[in-house]
This record gives sequence, C-alpha cells and structure tokens, in this order.
Amino acid sequence: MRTQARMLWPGLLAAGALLATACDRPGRLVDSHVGTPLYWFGRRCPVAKMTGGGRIDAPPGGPEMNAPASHQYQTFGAHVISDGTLNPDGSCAGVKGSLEWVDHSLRVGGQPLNLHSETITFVEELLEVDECKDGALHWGGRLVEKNTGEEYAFEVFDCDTGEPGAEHDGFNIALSGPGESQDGYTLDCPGSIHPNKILCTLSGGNRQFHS
Amino acid sequence: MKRLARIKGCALGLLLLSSAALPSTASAQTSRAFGIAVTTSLTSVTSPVAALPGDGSMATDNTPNVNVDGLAGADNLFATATGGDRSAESSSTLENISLLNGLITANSVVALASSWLTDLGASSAASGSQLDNLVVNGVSYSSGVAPNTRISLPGMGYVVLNEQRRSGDGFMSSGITVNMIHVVLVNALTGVKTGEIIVGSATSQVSQ
Repeated sequence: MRTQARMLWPGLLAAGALLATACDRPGRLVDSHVGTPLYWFGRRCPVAKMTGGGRIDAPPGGPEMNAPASHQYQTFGAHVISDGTLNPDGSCAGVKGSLEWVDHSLRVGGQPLNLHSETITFVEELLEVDECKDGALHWGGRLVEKNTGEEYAFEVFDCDTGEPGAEHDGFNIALSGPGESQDGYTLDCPGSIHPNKILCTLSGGNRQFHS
Repeated sequence: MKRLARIKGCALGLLLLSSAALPSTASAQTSRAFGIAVTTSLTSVTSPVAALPGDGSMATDNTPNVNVDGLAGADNLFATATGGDRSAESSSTLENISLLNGLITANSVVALASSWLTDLGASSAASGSQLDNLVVNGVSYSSGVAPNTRISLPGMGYVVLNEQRRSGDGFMSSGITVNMIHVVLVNALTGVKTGEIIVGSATSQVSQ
C-alpha cells in the first residue's frame, strides 16, 4: 500500500518541459513547507470546482470491489473551489475546500487511517488529459492524520470521466512530510482502467468537475 | 421549395430564439448519511450524521463507537455527505456491528449513494455498497445480497437487507436511499410497529 509517491501526471509526460525535469525529478512534487507544487504542470489557480466522494479498492484500484473480508478499500469525500485569483508570488489566493479520507485497510491505534485536510493551498487544471474528458485537477495543501495528530503536505489527482462516476472516474492521494509514519503514503492502482495507473478507478461514488 | 426553406429557416430561428430566452436551469442536490439510527418508544439515537450543507460543499462526522442498550452497537463509524451542481453523494462505513444482542452481526458495512444529472436525464446508484460476513439469526448471507431482501425475525419483526428506495422521474430528478440493514421491530401480539434500527444509511438526490 505505502509506496514511494509517484507524482507525474502521465498525460503531461509528452510535454518537453516536463520530460526535462523528469530526468532528475525529486521524490515528491509538493513543497511540504509552503504547500505549493515544485512544478506547475497545468493552468495555475484556474476558476474551477470539483466535488464528490466515493470508494476506491486499492490495491488493485480497479473498478471492481475487493472481497469485503479483506477490508482493502478506501472511502473519501473531497471538494475544492478556486476563484482564479493569484497572490503576487504566483500562488493561489482564492482556493478553498476540504478532504476527508478513510483507509480501511490500514490500522492505526486500532482504527482505520483517517486523514482530514486543514488547508487547501493550491489547485491547477490539467489540460489535454484525454482520459478525464470532463475535467482534471491537481490540488492539495496540508492535512492531519487524525489517529496521531501528525501533519503532512498532500496532493490529490482528481479526474472526472463523465457519468456515472463508479467504474470511470479517477482519484489518488499522496502524502509527504513533515509527519513521518505516513510519509510517502499513496495508493497502488495496477488494476485501474486509467492508462497511467496513478489514478485509481472509483468503485463507487462520483467526481464532478464544474468549470 | 423556396417556401419549404423559408419554413425551415423560420422554425430554426424560433428554436434559437426560444433557447436564448430560456432561463438557465439551476439544480438542487441533497445528500445525507448516518451510521446507526435506533428509534423505539424509549430511545432515539442517530450517530454519526453528515448532511450536505446549503452551500453544497461537504459534511463529515465520525465516532469510535456506538452502543445503544443491547439494541445496536458498532465501532469505527464514519459518515460523509458531498455534492455540487448536478451531483450528490454520501457514504457510511462501520465495523463490528451487533444488533439485538447478537441476533444480527456483521464485520463491516459500507453504504454508498450517488445521484447525478446529465443532459440525458437523472440517475442514481448504490455502487460500492457492501456487507461483510453478515449473519442473521445464525444464517450467513453473502456480501452481494440482493436489494430489498426481507428476512423474518420470529417474535421480533423483520429485517430488510440492502434496502434501496428510489425516487424521482429519471428525467428531471433522481434519488436513492440505501439502508444496508433495516430492522423493523413489531409487537408479536398486535402486529404494531414498535421501533426500528437502521445500520449504514446513505441518501443522495438531485433535481433541476
């Protein structure tokens, strides 16, 4: 389950600039101290909104549910809203939202891993991602692991592939410090219908992009 | 031929005019989820509860455990309600469920509801909902129990598993309520309903 975070959006790999940086890319793309991406891949701080929630069964992260006894699934709710304004330093000024994440496959103190956002600090719209025909966002900020109180920078890969969301839409989350116990947490999705295998496929629920 | 072309042009013009004159249709969406609800003449408990706020963002609630006087107990309960223009979703998850002093048990329950609007109409689904190791009165049931499976509880009433109630016309509106375990308590002598227990409930609805 916990693997080194893989932070490249494959739909953008064709971009020359990204390829150039990919050769020696760092292990994570979000600066955990300032909460912004080390690289902007898409349209920075757009007017955009993504809402919804659902279920993922990772691994393998495909459209089918795992056997219930495995407890190998995650449930979540997440929404992000950006009004398109930027700060003088180029970071997003008008972005807000929240994330609630429960990984039922991991136990921390006898309870499922429970993550909850504290602030949302950035959002970018990923363009020309064919598999996300209704829209794709890369967003994140800071969250707290409610089981332990440890804080992390997080980023979300968020993909609306139309309706219904189950068996179509994609989602994944990746954590990086300063907390230690879940540093590098992300989902493995080799069974995803999404070609890049970074996006897990929802087995229930829906992601809804609002332009 | 010219007259036919004129009529077609006129019709197209009227169509475009009427389209432009139509006000944009706003959608409305609601969602709500809870872990356990117990209602009898002596008690009324619902926990945890998440209901989509008016601004259409997100609500969450959770509690480590719920125990209602031997009627219902569970651990690690989470409820989430989300929504935005043209869509609504909710989920409820819980573990170690025991109802009616162990008459009904399950290792875990997931209830998930989602509703959405498209240009073609409105739909709802319970995809992602699941029961784990459900045992009712000594009989095991598969995780894929059919929607609205009703089982008698002799002397107590009955239970509906994977209860799914749908609403809306499928064109302008759609909704669904998923109650994974719904116990209806009935007085054995009079047949009068005396209470109910609902475990793992998720509701979503959209309309325009």
